[in-house]
Amino acid sequence: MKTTVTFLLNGETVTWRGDPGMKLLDLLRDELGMTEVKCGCREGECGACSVLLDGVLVNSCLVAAGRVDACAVTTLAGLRTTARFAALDKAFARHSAVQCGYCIPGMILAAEALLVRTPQPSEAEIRVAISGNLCRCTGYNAIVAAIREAAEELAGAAAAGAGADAVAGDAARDVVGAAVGAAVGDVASVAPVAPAAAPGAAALCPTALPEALELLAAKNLVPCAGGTDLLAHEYAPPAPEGSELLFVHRIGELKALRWEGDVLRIGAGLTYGELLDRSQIPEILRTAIASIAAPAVRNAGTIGGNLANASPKGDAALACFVTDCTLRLVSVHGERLVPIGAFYQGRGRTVRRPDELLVEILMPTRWTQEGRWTFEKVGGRKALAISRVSFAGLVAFDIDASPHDTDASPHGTANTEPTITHLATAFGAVADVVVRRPEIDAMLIGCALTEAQTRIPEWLATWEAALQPVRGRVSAEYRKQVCLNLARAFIERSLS
Amino acid sequence: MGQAASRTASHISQSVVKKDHAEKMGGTALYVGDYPQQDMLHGALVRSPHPHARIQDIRYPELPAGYFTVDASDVPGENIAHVVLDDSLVFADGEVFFVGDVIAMIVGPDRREAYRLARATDVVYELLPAVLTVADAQEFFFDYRYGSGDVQAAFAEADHVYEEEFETGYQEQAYLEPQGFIACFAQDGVLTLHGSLQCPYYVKAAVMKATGLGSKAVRIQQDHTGGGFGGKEAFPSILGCQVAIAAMKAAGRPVRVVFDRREDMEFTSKRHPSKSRYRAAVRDGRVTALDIDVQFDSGAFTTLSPVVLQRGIIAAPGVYRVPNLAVRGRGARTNKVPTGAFRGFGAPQTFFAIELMMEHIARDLGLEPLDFKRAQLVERGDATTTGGRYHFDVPLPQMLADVLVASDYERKRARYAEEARVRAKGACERSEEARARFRRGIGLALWFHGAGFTGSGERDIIKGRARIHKSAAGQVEVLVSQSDIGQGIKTTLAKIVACELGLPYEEIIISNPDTARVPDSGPTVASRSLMIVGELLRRAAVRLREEWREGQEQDVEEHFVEPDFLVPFDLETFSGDAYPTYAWGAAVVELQIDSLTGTNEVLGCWASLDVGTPIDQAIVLGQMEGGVLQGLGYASMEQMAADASGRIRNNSYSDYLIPSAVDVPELKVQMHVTKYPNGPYGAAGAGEVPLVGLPPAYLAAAEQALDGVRLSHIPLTAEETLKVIVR
Repeated sequence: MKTTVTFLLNGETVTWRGDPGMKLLDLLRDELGMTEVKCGCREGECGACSVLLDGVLVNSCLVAAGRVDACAVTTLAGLRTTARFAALDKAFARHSAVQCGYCIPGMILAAEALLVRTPQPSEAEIRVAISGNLCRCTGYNAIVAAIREAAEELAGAAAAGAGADAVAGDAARDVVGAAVGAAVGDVASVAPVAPAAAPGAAALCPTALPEALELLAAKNLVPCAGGTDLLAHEYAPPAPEGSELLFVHRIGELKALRWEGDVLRIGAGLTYGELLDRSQIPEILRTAIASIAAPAVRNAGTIGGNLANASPKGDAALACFVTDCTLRLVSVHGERLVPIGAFYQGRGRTVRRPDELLVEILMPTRWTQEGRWTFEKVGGRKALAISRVSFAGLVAFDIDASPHDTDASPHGTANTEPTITHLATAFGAVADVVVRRPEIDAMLIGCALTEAQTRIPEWLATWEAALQPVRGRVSAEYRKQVCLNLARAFIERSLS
Repeated sequence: MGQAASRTASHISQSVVKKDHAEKMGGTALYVGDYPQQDMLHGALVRSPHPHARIQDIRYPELPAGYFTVDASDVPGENIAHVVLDDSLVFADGEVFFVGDVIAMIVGPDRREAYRLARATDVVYELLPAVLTVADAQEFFFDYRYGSGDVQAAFAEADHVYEEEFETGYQEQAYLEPQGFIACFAQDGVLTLHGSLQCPYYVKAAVMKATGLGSKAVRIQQDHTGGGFGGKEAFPSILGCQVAIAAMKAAGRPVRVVFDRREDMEFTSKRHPSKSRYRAAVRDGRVTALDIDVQFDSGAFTTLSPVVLQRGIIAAPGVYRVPNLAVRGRGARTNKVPTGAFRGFGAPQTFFAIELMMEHIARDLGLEPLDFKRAQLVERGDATTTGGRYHFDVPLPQMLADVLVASDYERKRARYAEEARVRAKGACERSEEARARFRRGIGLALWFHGAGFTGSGERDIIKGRARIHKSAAGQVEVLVSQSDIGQGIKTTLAKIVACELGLPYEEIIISNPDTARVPDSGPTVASRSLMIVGELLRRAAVRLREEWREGQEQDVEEHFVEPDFLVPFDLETFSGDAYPTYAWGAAVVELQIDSLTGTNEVLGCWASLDVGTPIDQAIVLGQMEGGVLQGLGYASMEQMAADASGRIRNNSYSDYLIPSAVDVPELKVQMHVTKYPNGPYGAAGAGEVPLVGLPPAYLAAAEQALDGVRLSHIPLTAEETLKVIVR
């Protein structure tokens, strides 16, 4: 099925007709000749093909061509005349930070994305910003130093009142900036740049939920939110034979984040990058999200898409499990609320019907606000890592349990001892679905602290019997050992 | 011209803007996959899914118009992809020897369709027994031995005898740009190939043999190359032959083959896995003899194994003065992808073994490894392992001192030893300290890397020639066959010529090599380019300066001359100077192990490296830092193995992990400079040395964190680490 896609490429309008499930990388390189976009892995693991999508760093190999309709795409070619590029160019030259050069276009876009938002980054921030851009030549020191030096020079120029040059130099990129509204500075307020071509010929890209639901009810469609999972499979087309992609990124209802009492309602279409920008999200969720892949993947991947693809290795999923999230599924026939534990049926399988869309994740936060939590991810490295084992734990106490409790007693007595009101643990990457067993954790719920402490061995023994990991990149025995170690460390620390 | 003589080495070290900076920075540099598509045909390879089988039949699918097949029956010359020996074939001929062995190519206008047709090709096999491990190997391609002194007597007289086995795994070059070629057979009868490669003349020789074309009819050009690290030394000779023969059937249209990441990772050469048995005799606190048996997994064909193995065993006794040696090295033939060149070229495997062996012996003797090693270092004038000489200063003591200070090694070593003692004591008492989640350790390693080719290769085989051309207008161009694969060789060579001629560096022209224009100055390998070719160019520049004639076109060419101080090397007896000089390395690694998960984190890595005079400080530092990080990856996260069917499963960037920018933020390299008089301005070999000694330093640190357990192989995985902790 061919569709027409119209987008801004480095400030110029491009209209292209073709398969909306094609990788943006292939569209840019093979169809449009933008060979400064390099191809390194085609699965989001190297960053060589990084581009800016509405000002946000993404891997073009994980973006579907249909997704960029009415968007602005910036490649390295679109930056060459900017003041920031000039500063980076000079600094990269001074540090001889360009060796084989193959990672450089992606690296510069990662640096650009960083400096737009964080003009004076720390070394640690620079390293995180380029953590999805592999370089096999330099050891990264020269690149980090160059980005830092460029930032300092730009800041110095601005401070010295020489900023006028920088502003003038930025004129070219402002062509992009103007077209996407305030996109460069504020991810949340991206506006469409151009209308799609003739109705019916455009990619399926609804802007309102009812429209999306009608489409889902009428046709055999695969919802595509960020596309980071769908597009990662090189030899499998993103949509199965006979189905099409439904792009849901422009549906406003999926982008909302709001409180309802102490429940945080998280729009399923929010990207991880967008969520990290919000101060409201609980720390356990923030920590889990920050452990996912690297910025470019987080900028495209959505929490809803990640939950719905039903990988047992999903990092944010663990945070959703231990907070006992509820998922809101909506279709033209109505809606239903499904506890996250009941959502999964197996690896890649959920109870979502083809006509339903995951619209919101309802995350109770009464426990995360006062409780103790942990999120642990065991990956092969510190970024761009797929979990080999992951663990989350959340425990909350009721310190008002005793009617005699007053704040006059600094040394807790039996009467003032806290009682466990919530305990949830979840293990990722060990089975076909995330392992969460409320009945095991219930052993300690309602127990006073000292009593709970005495029951830790029993709780652990029950988990030991219950956990039957599968082998993968690591052995089943290793997974089990790590699960038990992390669970023990969490419970002992939390109840100490 | 007068200024040139006053230029000093420190001047030459000052960094400049690299020759290829602007086009790579701006994204306009063309790599082989970037050339426009019009007219281009694409090739997809038909590969064996079996490690060993007889081909009974090849049944091609019905081909759409415009598609054609290429296989052994199409090879116009000899069906040989020449590397060192002639056992590698261009296309399989009746038998396949590893998973991925190439049987045929399907060529046509659409890349995806070509791949589909390749997958649809039905090859009928009769399965044959396969050898998948070194332990099961029946056949060894090479069996080298050398020795000195009286090993038997030394063992008989020893106070202590130690024996250990060490193993190292595959390491994949994982350059960011996969391999690829474009070939075109023009109407004038000239076959031109351009692509991602290190050694244009290697490819040329191989293509001439396979196509039967003469020297004038084969032209090889290097495109901008997205990293090599040895992976584009020999392999392009094989792929080049395949693409060349496809082009000869393509009626003048260009044929391109560019691998995707999985094809590249699974089926191109990588570092030899190794298994080494070390026996050491110790008397009066010194190692008096080593009896070493090294086995490398060569895979199905010899490719570069003989030379990798030679370098590996020459380095096997390390940087220590050991009077009695018996060293044996073999390359095991297995039904797996042929292994080959990767930065360090055999030496990382054996340095891993000797450095860890020394660490273990020292601890067993109750000595600090630092002291034990320091007392036995070779010095200038000492014999090398092959009876040559260390002709120049051995700077290790000073480098070691530098790196100890930078890392605060001794204080940390003592502190972490104390932490281990508390752990050991507390384990009974179950104290808080004993159960602290993170354990720390620090370790060090010392090594060298022989600069340039092993043995007499430069004199007998390469016979390098470098040329400088001056136009009538006075424009100067450097003509050599060196490939800039990121290491900056275009920049450093141009600097040397500029320096001698007293011309601005920016005015010196140097392009990616084209065999139609450049003489054969040898391959871009073995840390030789700057030291050997750089010196040839320096001498040529001196001559040009002296013979400079305004307004006239001039060419000056210099040929390799072996330094007269060398003890000639004899490969039959493994005797003499294997290398004219050495690059040196000392490194400290500090790490922290998570006792709950077995994962580890490098807290810091400090290295001191001596590569002679750096011809450009920033370039050399970048080489050193990059190499050090590759060495740390080799020790830890870079895991690749063949499964029981002989297939390499770690064939993607998500399954074969290389360090990211956040993995080792604290990586400090300092340069020590011992000038090599026969290199330009004192430069020696630089490219490979930084990687070599990191794995043993890493493991020494891990061993301290793991309470002195003896580890014996890399990569050290979280899983193995946790097993040690639980035990």
